Amino acid sequence: MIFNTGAALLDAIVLAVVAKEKQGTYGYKITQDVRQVLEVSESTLYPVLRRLQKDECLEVYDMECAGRNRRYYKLTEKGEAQLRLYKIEWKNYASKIKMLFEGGTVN
Amino acid sequence: MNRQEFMNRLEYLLRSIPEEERADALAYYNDYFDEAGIENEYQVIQELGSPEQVAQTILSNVQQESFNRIRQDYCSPEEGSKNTEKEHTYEYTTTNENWNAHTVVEEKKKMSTPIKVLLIIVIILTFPLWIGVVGGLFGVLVGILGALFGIIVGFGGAAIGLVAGGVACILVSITQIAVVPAVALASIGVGALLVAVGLLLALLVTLTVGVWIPKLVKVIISWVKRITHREEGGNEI
Repeated sequence: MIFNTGAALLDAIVLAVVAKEKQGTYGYKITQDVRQVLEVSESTLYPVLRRLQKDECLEVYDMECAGRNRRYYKLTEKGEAQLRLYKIEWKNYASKIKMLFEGGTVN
Repeated sequence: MNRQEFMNRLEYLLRSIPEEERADALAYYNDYFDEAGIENEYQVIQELGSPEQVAQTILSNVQQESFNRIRQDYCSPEEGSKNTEKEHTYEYTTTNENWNAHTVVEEKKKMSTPIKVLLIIVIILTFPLWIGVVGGLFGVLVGILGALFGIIVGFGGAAIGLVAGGVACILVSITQIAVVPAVALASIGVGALLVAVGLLLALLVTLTVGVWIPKLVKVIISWVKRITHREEGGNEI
């Protein structure tokens, strides 16, 4: 992975991963899914999840699973709105870079 | 290093952060180890890095958050340091973030100024109308607070009176036991009842003053904060 992943992009990726499951997912699974896309250290993701939770983009609930407690993260309405915003920003950003790399006019 | 040593070391390194934050972080990583399973324990430790690294990311995030919270209250977003914070931790690409913050601030300015001026003029012109209402509301508030205060003092006084009276009753009745045993015993019972009711009232008063009122004040403060925060919250993208 050559390009650095900024904080906002990391937030967007985590939101997108959590959004894939309607009922939400748990920390370990989120980490595995993100690591399929990005090479991030496993310890990078906890602060991101925590920050998104404090910003009320994610909510948590606990569920008993095989005798243990499992904490699930789920997108809030604010989180969904934030993700939509990120997706639009990404489209703009990516298309500009694409035009720059592939020639043609840069607006 | 095994899981237990890892988690113990992590707990030690996080000792300076608030207990709730620490508990959340430790629970997260304990769950993580559980999910990975015992067979993957070594691999997880490899991938997490050292407890020092894990603690460092958590600590810098906690510091960053309280710093941002303070700044949010007093500085305008244009000073740009919010982005610099992120740059520090994540090696951020600055151009896009700065651009974004800029447009958000400009849009806000464009919308409010003419409306704000109009609002101020209207307020000044209608002064005689609303000053009466405001004064009345203020009076009501003072009245309510006064009544509350009176009730608390009244109940407090009653509590003291009941306990004192009850104790006195018991004491006198004890001296009378030899003379009129049945009556004395009954009086002791009554005295005890008085003391009990008095203590209950005292407890109620203490609870109200010590617990419920501070809680109410906190709730009101958090409402006010939320209202003033919402106006600033729009800057965060």
